[in-house]
Amino acid sequence: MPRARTVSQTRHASRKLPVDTIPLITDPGRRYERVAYGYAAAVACLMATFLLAIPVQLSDSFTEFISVHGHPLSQVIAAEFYNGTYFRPFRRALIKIVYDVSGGHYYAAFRGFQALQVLVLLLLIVRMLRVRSRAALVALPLGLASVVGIHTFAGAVVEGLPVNHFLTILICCAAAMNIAEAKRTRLTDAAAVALLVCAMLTIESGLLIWVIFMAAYAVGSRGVSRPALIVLTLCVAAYFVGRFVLIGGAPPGLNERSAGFGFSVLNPDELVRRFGGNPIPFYAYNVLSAISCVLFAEPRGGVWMFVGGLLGGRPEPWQFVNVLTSTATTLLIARHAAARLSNWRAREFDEADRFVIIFLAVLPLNALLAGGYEKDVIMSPAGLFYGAAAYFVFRERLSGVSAVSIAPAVALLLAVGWSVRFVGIHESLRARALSVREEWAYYDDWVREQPRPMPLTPEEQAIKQHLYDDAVLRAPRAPQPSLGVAERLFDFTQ
Amino acid sequence: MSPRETEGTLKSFALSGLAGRILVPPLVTFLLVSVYVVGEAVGYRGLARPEAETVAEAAALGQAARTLQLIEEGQNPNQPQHVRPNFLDAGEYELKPLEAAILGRHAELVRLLLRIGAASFDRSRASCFARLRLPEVLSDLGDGASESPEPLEIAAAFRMCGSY
Repeated sequence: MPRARTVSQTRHASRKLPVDTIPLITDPGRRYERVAYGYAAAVACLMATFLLAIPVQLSDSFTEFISVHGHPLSQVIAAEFYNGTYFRPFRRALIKIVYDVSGGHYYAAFRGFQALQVLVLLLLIVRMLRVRSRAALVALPLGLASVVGIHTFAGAVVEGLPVNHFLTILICCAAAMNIAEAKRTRLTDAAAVALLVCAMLTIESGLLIWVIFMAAYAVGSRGVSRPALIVLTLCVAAYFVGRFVLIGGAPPGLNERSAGFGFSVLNPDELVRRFGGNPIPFYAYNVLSAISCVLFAEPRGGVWMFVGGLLGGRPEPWQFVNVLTSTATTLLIARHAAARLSNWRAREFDEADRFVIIFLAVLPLNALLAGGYEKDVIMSPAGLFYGAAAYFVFRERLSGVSAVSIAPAVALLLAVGWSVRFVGIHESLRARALSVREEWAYYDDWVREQPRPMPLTPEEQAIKQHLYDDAVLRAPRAPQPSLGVAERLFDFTQ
Repeated sequence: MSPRETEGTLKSFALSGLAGRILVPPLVTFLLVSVYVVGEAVGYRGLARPEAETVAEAAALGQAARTLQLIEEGQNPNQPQHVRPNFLDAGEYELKPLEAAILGRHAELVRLLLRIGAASFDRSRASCFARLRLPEVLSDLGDGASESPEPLEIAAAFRMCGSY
């Protein structure tokens, strides 16, 4: 197939054609794509400068170091197969690999790895967005601002963990879309299976890779063959059989952790008291909250913060920014979906349709994974496809073929709103640099608050001292910006 | 590339009003943040909060890590130190770090300072500050706990408890 086609030739192209047969017509030299990759790399580098100012955190990270230290990789993986309510053997394996590679330079290795992950993610996103026209390029900064600035993404970068498994899953999601849209070969089939297995053994959200492949196939993407889809489905079945039948694992109970409900956060005892007899309403609340969280930026972590602020008469400016931009973007995506519904019924899908439909498929199934407790970052895969869907709606409008119109004032409002949120995530990262230093300074208090005593061996004590020195005594200088009242526009809760 | 896109007005595409509205805010924002980062790297601190240069200033801000870092670098946590304006309030003060932490109302940091040996202080003066600003640390200072109304302003606390 020729690399470029004329417009007249393309007019005859059927929308039913699978993705890999859609011609590239406006960017034969791929100059727009190159600029897009450059922009994504620049955005990643910018975020990396903020990430590299954050030491390795104490909470959710130090104990991981202790868990992997002195154990072979196989033992680390094997131990996680029988970890009760959680089934994430590859999560700690990745930590172990980075730990071993670090050679004792923990801060540089783990923060560097996180920065590298952000770069890989953004490059994969640009690849999946297929920036091959001027309109596509113009829409890209807003698209990336929405992908990076959305509140569901924050937890994937603000937390170290020390390898953030949610960020790993986002990379897997973007990689899955790239595989699904690629030209089908045996390699793409094998890569799809390997990706799914790695993702779902990293964290439960990895099961969404299967959803992405299935949804992509349903809307015409043929990078993965039908037999491979069957294998993927068998893998998912094997996951559930293995986890719940062979290993005998159980889903997390109500007593695992605190969770948002209504206008407050309930501790495990309160959750058991209120929902112990019948947890179904609580799970349903979480699923609906998770969906609403992506679409409207409310509730957050199961708590209706903005509504509570409105009722109390003191909503914060950043809450208006978040809720208004998300709601307006959701309405645009919804209008696009409504306008294209008849085409979808006729199985006519273009690129925008594909991403909107895949987002609509990922959203509810992602929300199911948040049934136990709603946390914004759990919804990060849906947030990724939300941003991608919004990008395509803007892009279609810019290219003058959109099914929906966008009032200039609304476009400006959205662009400004997402830009503020883009700045906000960087502000949060800078604030995180300070808070991580502070939590290390209070290490003794942290130890006292642990549910079990934490005696350290001399080697573990050395690791602790190294991390403590990195955070408290040798931390890079990260001045805290002071933007006055403008800071009230930024969401520091993320 | 969407076939529908090719059917549109691609040839006449320019930086129209809509394109400008969609492109300019995120691009300008990205550039501004980038310029800020570069400026910061070469020492520009115009938009940064002032950084503590003494243990007392760090304690006044409640920054435990910076407090420990400055002590590690050799500053004595038991000596009165200068606190510039806008760290506690608009005034300038000479304070021991423990007193600065009390006046700044940072109870955890008060306890941390006591744990690491910032224990040479004028007990009656520190307790006086604590009664007026942070009564919850009175027991940590070896004084009896007491009821307190709203914390007094720092300048008023100085008038009542005295300065060096």
